Amino acid sequence: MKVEPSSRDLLEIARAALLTEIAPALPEAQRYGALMAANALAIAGRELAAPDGAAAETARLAALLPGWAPPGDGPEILRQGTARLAARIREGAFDEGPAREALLAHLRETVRARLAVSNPRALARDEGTAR
Amino acid sequence: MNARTGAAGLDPRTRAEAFLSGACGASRVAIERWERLSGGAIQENIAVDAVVEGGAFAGRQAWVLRTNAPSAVATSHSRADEFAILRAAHAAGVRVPEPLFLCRDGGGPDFFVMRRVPGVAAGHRLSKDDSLVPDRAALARELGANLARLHRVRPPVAALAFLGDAPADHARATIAAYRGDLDRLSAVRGEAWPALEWGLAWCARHALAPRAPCLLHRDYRTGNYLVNEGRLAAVLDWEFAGWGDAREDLGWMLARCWRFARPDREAGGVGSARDFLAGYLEAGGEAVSPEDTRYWQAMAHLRWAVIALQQAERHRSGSQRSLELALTAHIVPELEQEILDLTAGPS
Repeated sequence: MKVEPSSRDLLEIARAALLTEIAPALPEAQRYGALMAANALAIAGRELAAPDGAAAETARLAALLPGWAPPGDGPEILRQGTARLAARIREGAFDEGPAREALLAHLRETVRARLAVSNPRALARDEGTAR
Repeated sequence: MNARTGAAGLDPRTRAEAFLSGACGASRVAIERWERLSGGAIQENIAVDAVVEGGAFAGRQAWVLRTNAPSAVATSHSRADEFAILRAAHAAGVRVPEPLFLCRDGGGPDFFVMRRVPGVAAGHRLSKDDSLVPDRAALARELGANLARLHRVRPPVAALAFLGDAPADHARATIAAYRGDLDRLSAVRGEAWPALEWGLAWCARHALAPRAPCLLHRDYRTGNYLVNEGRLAAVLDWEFAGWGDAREDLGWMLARCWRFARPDREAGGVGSARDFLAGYLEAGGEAVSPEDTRYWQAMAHLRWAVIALQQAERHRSGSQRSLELALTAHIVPELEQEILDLTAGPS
């Protein structure tokens, strides 16, 4: 059995302590560092909570890359597919037509998942709820 | 210290006093304040208050001394080169801290001395606080006009020979450079960045007819200039300056990623694009179309994304462990989103 509270809970409470108790007591010059640390804890917490989208992303890559049959869906395979897609984009394989539209849909989806961890506020802008 | 010649062996402050009294034609220079302003990994800025006796600078002087940090690694421009760039910009009428003296006495790292300019640079404050910028249209126009004066400097300039030859097609040259940067990052990280590749492919496909090269700042944005009493006081951080297409600097200033608290204000979060570009045109800058602006905004986000990945890699590789560098990696998805927004339209 792991000891409770869990890593997610610890990250959350550490962040709350930084923001509400520690940062306000710091001199101006150090406060920015505390806010950065709080941001880092928030990102780590969101990453732990994020659904594992690797299988779905690998499936999308396979659909975009004819001739590439992923032998599973582990991180290394996702890495290979992503590298292959990047190379094909550079070669101009997605410049126009349905390939372009399919690529853009995939990139939107991937960027949304990355933003959900790195900066959900920017995600809100995408949906027109902020500005 | 033993018998070395010149100023060798002196502590930095005494060395500066000796150098400055010669440079000022003074009988004596006494430094009363010597305070580090910012400790970058590469450069160090020291606030210097000095009392000068005799010569053209007699009296109290407020200066900044810029030198290499003790742990300096190879940099884009040496202090001597940066001094030459500042002089060229100053001579062109660009608002900069006036460069005064360059010290290459061999008694330590090279340094130069410039006048200290008061003002606020912080992007969050300038974008948020109207009391710092009561007339936003005026500041945006000044930023535009100032950039137009810089862009009047055209190659070749003998004193700037170290900048090398101007690229015939700046956009294509930088796209090739960014692709090389991504390849090097991929090789060490085993990752790839399809959204950035898409943006680069789009920029390669939509490349505009190149314009005659001029002197660029290449980091002309909020955060890198001082505002004093609501007006543009001085442009800082010239370490990336080089020859290129003027529209790169315009796109950098207008890019969404540099608007801080006010993404609705296109010109660096401090003013409107209309005022900024009007100031640019009035001071002799060449007109830009909405297509030009969009193209170079996309290029700006690509450039910042590549730099952000390089900064994060300095942390990840262990060469410079830093919370700030680590967090820079998490800016990249937002840049990717903006690149998609700028390039996904019908074409």
